[in-house]
Amino acid sequence: MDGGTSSDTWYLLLLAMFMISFMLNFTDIPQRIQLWRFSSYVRRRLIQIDEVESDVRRRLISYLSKLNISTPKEVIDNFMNNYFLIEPVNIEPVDIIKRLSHLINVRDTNIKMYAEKYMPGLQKSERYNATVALEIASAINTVNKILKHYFKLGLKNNNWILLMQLALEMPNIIRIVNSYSKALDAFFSGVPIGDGAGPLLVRYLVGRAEPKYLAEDTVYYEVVVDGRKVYAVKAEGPGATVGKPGEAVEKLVEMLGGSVARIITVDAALKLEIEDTGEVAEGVGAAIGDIGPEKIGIERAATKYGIPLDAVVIKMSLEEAINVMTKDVYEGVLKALERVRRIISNICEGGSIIVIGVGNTVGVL
Amino acid sequence: MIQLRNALDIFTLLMIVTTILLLIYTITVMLMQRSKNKVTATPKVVTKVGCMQNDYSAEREYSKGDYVGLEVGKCPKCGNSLFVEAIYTVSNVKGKEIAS
Repeated sequence: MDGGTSSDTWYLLLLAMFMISFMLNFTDIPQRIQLWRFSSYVRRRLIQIDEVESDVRRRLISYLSKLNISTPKEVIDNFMNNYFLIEPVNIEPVDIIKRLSHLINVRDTNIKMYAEKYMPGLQKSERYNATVALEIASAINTVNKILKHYFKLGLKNNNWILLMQLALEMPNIIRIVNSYSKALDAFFSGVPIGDGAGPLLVRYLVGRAEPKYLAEDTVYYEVVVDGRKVYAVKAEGPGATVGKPGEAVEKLVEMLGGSVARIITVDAALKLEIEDTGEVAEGVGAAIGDIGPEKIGIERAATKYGIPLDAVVIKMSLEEAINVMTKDVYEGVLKALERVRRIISNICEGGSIIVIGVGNTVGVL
Repeated sequence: MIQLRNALDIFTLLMIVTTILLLIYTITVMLMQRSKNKVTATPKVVTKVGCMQNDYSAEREYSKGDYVGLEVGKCPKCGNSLFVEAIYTVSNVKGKEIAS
């Protein structure tokens, strides 16, 4: 009797294991469980992003109200979803840069017109800061919409792999969305951000020299460093703008008749996880994170006259690049300044050098 | 009888051990998640001011309207103009959030 009970238990256990094995291997149940697991995870994270978006909107309304804008909600709503840019045809590459540049200029002009219409009476720097804040809110809104699109698509088609991919990417996306949200504070207050390392270096290089207009939102300074003539280019501060460094360098090189001993570009660069913030590296090429027109402008100007093109970069993470400048980045700027001075001192005395501080000049005059 | 008791004991023991391990795992994951979600302190924003003649520099708390290159007074040492040299955050220091 006792022996019979024991074999019954083992028989039931084996049967249960067989049934479970059958269900796991020959039915959709595991996929359904995965779908449920990943969808509930993604749903929770999407709620988190919704909260960030609402918070950004609330802070933006409060900021615009403080700037005496009567209809802040309307200003935000009319800006969202608009001002996208359709990239030009690329199967015919002839004059693609010219076409892209034209489209970027048209978009920029439209945004400036919008800002002038809805935010009248503001100082230029305040208007530029508010425009970048609107762009940040719009970017977060777009990311949220795209994520929800893929989430709904995954649920609609029972595509657990799509939901799994979303779930795996979510922590990284949330990290980026949170850093964009935090970045608003820098633009509301008009303080330098990590990406402003290049313009800050130019500010230190030129001291109290007077700026001269070169291109839209872009100025240059003429100074003498160790007996060498330095033309330093940066976006016009202290409002949030990156200017047109490519166009400016092309103009400047032509203005000098191509007689330039060296072009040095200085910019913030994204660091690898194993690198330290504020590390400075030196290389060759145009250090500029641009989609095309500005970078090619610098490269073309250098190539036309055979001018050596140097790049000095200050390493930082994405969060550090778009948020208030950290002390590590500031110390990196000082190190980069020494590097630039050393490159300048290697040029023969009397030679002309162009130094371009690439990046957003918010909070830097 | 002894065989049955042994078989049941092993089975029961296995269940108990598995349950305990699962509990430990769940608690560990929950604790790790909680430590990850800890709110980090808002870094303090400071403004560094310096004299044109490079004979004086000082750090003070950021005040609204500061930007690099802004003239903020006279140097206490030489009387020349004093400018904002840099604005940056100091890590691991709890401070007030910059005003929006």
